[in-house]
Amino acid sequence: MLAAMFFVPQGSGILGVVLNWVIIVAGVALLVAIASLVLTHLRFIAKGKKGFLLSLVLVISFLATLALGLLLGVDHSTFLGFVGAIIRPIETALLGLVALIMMSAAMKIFRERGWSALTVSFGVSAIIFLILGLGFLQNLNIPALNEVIRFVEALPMIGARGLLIGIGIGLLMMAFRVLFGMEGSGND
Amino acid sequence: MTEDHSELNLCPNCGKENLPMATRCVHCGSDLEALFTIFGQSQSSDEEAEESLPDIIEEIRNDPSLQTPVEEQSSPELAPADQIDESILNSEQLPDWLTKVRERAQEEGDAIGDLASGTIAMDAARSEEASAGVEGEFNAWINRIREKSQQENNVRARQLPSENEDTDQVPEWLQRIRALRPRPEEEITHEVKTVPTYADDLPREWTDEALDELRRQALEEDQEQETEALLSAGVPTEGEELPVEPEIEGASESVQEEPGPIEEDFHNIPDDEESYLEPVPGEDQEPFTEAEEGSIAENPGEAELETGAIEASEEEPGSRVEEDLEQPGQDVPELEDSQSEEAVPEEAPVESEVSEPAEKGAPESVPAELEDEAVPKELEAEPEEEEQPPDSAAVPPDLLLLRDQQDRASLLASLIEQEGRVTAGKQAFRKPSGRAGRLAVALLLLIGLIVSLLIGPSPMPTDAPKSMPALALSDQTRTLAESDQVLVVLDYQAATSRELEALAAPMLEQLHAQGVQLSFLTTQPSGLFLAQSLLKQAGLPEDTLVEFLPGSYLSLINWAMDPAISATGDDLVRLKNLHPFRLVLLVSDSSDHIRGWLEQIAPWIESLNFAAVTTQMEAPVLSPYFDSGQLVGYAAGIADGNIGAQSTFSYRAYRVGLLLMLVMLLLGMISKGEEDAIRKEEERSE
Repeated sequence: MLAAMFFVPQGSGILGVVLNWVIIVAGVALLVAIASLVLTHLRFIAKGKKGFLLSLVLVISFLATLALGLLLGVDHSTFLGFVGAIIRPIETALLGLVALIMMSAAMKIFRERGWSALTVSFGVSAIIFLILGLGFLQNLNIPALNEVIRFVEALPMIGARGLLIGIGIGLLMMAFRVLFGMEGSGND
Repeated sequence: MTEDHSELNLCPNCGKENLPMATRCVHCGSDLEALFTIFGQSQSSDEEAEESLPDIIEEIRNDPSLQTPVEEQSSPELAPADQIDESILNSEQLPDWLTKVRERAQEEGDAIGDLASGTIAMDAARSEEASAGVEGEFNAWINRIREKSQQENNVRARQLPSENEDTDQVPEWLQRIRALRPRPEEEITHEVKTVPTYADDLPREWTDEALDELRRQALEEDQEQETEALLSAGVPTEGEELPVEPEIEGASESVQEEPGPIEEDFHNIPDDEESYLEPVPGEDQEPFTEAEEGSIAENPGEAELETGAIEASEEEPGSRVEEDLEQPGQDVPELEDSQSEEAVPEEAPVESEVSEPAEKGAPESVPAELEDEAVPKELEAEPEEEEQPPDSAAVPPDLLLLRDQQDRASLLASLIEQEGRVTAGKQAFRKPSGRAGRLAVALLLLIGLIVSLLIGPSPMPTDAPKSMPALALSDQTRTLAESDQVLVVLDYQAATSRELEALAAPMLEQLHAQGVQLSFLTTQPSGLFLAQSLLKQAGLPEDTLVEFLPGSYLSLINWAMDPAISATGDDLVRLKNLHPFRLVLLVSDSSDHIRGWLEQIAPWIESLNFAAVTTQMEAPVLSPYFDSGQLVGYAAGIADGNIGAQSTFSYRAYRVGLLLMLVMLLLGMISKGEEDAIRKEEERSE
């Protein structure tokens, strides 16, 4: 695929076929994963394993969604409303818990890690950007302060660039390791 | 009925049989302690010795065989009393066990046993260490007295030669003996065995006639007259030692053991030296100073005498002192008089010579100097002896306890007493569970949420400053014409739908108002029902087509590379080609997905412009792409949501959340600082 990408449009036909294979394999893999999940929980229910009630809920939900999707179709507004009414509050509540955990972690980080360069820099930067996020300083409309705010808000871009460069180099190294057989599978 | 009469003891008073363990006769009530005397062991009490000695002394006086020299009379290792006991016992038929005990006692040098010997030695060593300071002061005081006496004797010694020439064939030592008058207090002193230390070369062997004369005069003359006569006879010279013959020793032994009325006032100190018997003034009892030591050192001859005496006393430091300590009732009165004895050093040889034969028969004796050293020991040992039996000689040595053993026993007793009692014990340190902190956090969040909900949603102020990417995106949307096609890619989860819909809905509404042709595509299965909500918020018709593309952006890559193949290969998706679109608006909560579009698809289609609506968390990652021009603009977070009317977004709740987060962070810092301060304070207090 890498070679085909360098020889476009001559190798684009082959690249398209390979991409379709990838999509098919990914779809089949998703079906296999769903089947494995359902069979595993059915086995838990059959054995009466601890927590099998949750398995029962999962299987019932899966069968109900599958039945409604087959009966009404995936584009039906009733079906979409039904699924959305379940998924949206659940995921929103989950994100709220993440916020709560982060808040607790912000409070505990100094107790657990003590005073170090990492914790102090984290605390100071968090306080600065939380204050900027409130928007009080921006509403003051002070030109010099706005310049400072603009400079401070540009600082994350520096970190993001470093992050992206690091991600690119890491991906390249990982690709070479895989190509030369230096990297085993995830099961090793 | 089965009693063995061979083991019964006969009462010395009534002659009747008593059990072996009886201490008193059951018939007459007399004391049977003497029967329990172990062969080879010395008598333990003075009373018994005093009771039996008069008879023995009388026999010695009347027995001419005892007038023989001392070498023939007795050996130094065996006391007369022991000889008598041995002869009596040998004459009887002894039991086997007693024979074995005797044999073993003869074979083994120390019949007491290693354990008991070690115990006694350890106690003696401890008591020596404890009384070292007192001994030092006492020795210093004694040295001062000796120094004075030596000086006086030196002065008198210069005058004596002429006096000796005046006397008719009467040796000087005889004059001194005549001047002596035995006293009961000094009898006990005669028990002390000292190693004689002579500083001169005077003759110490005398003829039998002279000794007979000495004995006769010492015992038969009237003490008062003799004392008065001898007071004027002269003063003994320094270092003039009196030899003692066996007869005298026998006489002195009788003097020791028979405190008869004749020798009652006898003492061996001339009357002109009685001033030394006076109490020592307080200044002399003060500790011995270095200057005084130096003054002693200035007189080497005298110092040698004293040193010799001290060394002699140190030759047998341990064993005799230990024996003394074991017999407290015997030596304490002697030691009280030891000060006066030390004031007359020339008498020590007489005492030592006299007391030699009485070593075993009489109670254990100590050299004169050792007696001095033993005084503080015994005085110090008195409180300890209160805890022990009054007569330790009655207790077998192997039953004596070391101090360490006593301490352990007391500790064990205290532990046993405390057993079963309810004690406070060491409470485990309870680590703070943090429930209060969690409760505070929960209350803060609840209060903020409730307040923000009660007050109601507050729209973002329109005059609030916007970020540069948001302004660029706003400018880009304004430039779109009515015929331009815009592809809206929905790639987000339900959790972030509120934030993204609040940003994207006003933008879609504006584009729809501008007449821009909008096409909706999603790569997430959940995008279908999420798009329904977005379309509703944006005021778009509900029948707007939202296409689902399986395989995520891999399929889009295929489109980008060869649109012709993609167009003929899949009929399920109406959207076949990306080239007609002027702008691709990526509504995503994943920066990775946006990067995939920018890095994998954008290179194939140079005419496409990409913009993004994302969460504030992902915005920093997109900033480099905006800076490089790959993104024409993006809107991220609530702060960029003032593009249009926001009906589903509460800016006040957002601010309350940020404020709570800020407060919690500061609380964490403050609590940590307080904890450090408390710890430091505790360390200081410790």
